[in-house]
Amino acid sequence: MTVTETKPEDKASSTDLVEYDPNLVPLPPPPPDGLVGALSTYDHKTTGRLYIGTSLLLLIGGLVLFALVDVERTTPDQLGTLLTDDFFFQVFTLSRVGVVLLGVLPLLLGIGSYVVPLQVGAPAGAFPRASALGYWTWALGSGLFVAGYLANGGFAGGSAEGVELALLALLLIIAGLSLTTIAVVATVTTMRAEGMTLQQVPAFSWSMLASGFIWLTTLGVLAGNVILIWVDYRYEQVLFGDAANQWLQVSWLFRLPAIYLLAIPVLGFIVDAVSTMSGQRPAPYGALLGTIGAFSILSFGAWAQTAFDDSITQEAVYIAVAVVIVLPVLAFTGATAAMMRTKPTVSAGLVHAVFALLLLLLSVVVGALYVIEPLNLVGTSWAMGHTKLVIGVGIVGGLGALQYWGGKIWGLQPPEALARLEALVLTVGVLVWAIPELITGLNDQVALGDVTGVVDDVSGASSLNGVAAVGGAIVAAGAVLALLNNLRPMLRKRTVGADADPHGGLTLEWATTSPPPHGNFREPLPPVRSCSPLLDSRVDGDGDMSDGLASEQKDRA
Amino acid sequence: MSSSMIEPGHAPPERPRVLLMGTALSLIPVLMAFAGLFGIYLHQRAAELAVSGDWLDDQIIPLTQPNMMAITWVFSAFTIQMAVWSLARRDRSMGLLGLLLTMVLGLAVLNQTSLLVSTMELDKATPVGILVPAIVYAHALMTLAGLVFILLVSFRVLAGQYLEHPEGVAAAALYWYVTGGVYSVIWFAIYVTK
Repeated sequence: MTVTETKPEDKASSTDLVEYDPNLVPLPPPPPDGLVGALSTYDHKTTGRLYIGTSLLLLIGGLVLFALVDVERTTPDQLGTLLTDDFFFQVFTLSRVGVVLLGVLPLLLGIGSYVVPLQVGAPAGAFPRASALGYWTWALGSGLFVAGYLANGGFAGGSAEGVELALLALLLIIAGLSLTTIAVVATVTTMRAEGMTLQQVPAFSWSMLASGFIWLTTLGVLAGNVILIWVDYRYEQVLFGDAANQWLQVSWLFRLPAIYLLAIPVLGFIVDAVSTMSGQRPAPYGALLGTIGAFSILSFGAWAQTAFDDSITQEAVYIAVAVVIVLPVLAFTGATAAMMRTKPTVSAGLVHAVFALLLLLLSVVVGALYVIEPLNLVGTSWAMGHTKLVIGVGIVGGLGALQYWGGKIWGLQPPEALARLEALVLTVGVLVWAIPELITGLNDQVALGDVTGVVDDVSGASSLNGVAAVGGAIVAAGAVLALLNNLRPMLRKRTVGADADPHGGLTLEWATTSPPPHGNFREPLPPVRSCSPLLDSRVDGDGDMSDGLASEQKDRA
Repeated sequence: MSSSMIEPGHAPPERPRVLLMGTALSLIPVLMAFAGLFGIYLHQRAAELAVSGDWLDDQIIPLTQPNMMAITWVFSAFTIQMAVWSLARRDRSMGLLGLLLTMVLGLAVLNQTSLLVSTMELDKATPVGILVPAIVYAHALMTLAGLVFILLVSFRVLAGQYLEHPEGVAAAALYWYVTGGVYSVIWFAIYVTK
């Protein structure tokens, strides 16, 4: 066999191009604009925007279905008012998957996909094509998943083809989300700016790193469950594929402690928003990163599969996790509150951040109470109240992050007044949505999902379920407000229209134009020395990066 | 513009083995999927043994093919390491030979898996009759993905890449080692211990 020992790239030479260095990341040419650009993108910014836009629409759909299930529960003895008995359980499962895997998680992943490369000073995201493939795989999987339900399939569905379609679509969803998550985590671990150590990574990027690991491990186990259900469903439907058992094997994802995985990136957003609006370094930074890390580790919940061992909720480790997870959240809240002593600028992003933190505090306390034996709350709708609260943290925090980085993402800052209203509506909605479940849980209303189609007629539960339905509708309305708030910036042509640094930011994403140019930064970034590089440059007086570099880049753009 | 060139003005950061890191990250969900499946298998096995004292009953899993596959995996670990080692020393011929041998051995593993599945006598109306094929097929799929990975890397080596810096080949090797590692668990927990 004839082979050449000369690398093809060695032959290339040009005076206006830098010679290839295998240690440097080659920057691909700018992607085309418009629809062609969106379809063939390898730019992390376009991938992030696609995730955000699609997941917002799917989130609203999932929330409407969630509310529909609650409406149906107002007449427990007469299932079929809105939905037929069989279809009720399908809508129930579709709403859970819709909100978590088609709504909140991809929304946070989309924001991470956009913001993380900017925060770590990378000219591009790692594996940009794999990340884009992840989006399209997830989008295709989401469409097929809904189609499977429309064909009377999904979990415990009546049509064999529909059930199989939904199961395979769920595998596509998992694969897509995993691919993009890998790209985000690889960006943080391998593409940081010169001098930026892992301890100096901005809090949101750190939280995406931590949540990325937890998402990958959790989604992997979920994929194993779905494979088993599908294989058994195709053959004999002995145990795993049996209609009554299908949902039970994946329901652990929507319960304590796994559901906390939606809240991890929100912690990073809270630190970034509070420190920026307070104009001071997040401190103690190591402790803050540590609490986010501890919270992440404790939110790994794939081991708590009640389908195979229903006594697991009485195990010491389960109880310990549910109680101990309060500690990092308390420590985090204390550190965040200390940062706010300097009277921060009250922007809509900060309002979202504070509300999300308060909801998280409430949810971890509710989670800790859930496992306390004398209260007998296990198996009651208290669990659903807890799930709704954590989903609320993800929604309020995720949409807050979208508002905070809105100008950077869209090139036009979404209106602040409407965003403040949105934060209020969402938070009130989440409370009205979740608290009735807690009350009915105290009255021993059985949690939905433990058995297909069961709705218990507990005294007073009907009216409280109605209140929960109203809460769900309010949350959905809040999500619609967020969509409307972002609609104009979302649909406009991508030109520089927003301030590069409207908040006086501390991290590198504020050192470039809004939206950033191809390659993210037009100038080489100076070495990073701390977690707040822009504050360093202001303090040192060696060139205000946030003003000087960004405005220069804006001029060039 | 050639993709191997960098526009002036940009200062791309150093790339500490992005592909290797990406491969390691992509192995996390795969490993966790198998961990979940093994967990369910072992849990079901323990529960069944506690109740009836019998797990496989009259069902048969032959041991000849699994043992041959285990030996094949060990050989393929050597051949892919030979590829990495050779390419790091700019010996492309030996590197390609190592990759080619690994692919042949991988195909042999798939062939033996197919034979094993056809000779296993499992009752699909029992949990073990579902769990074993699910795990075996999932691993066959992982092996197939590894073969595609090695094939793509081989094309790149043919095109003159990965000499001295065999990161892509090392990433493929990492994937291959982990796939072999998962097989070793299947071999011991399912085929041998049953």
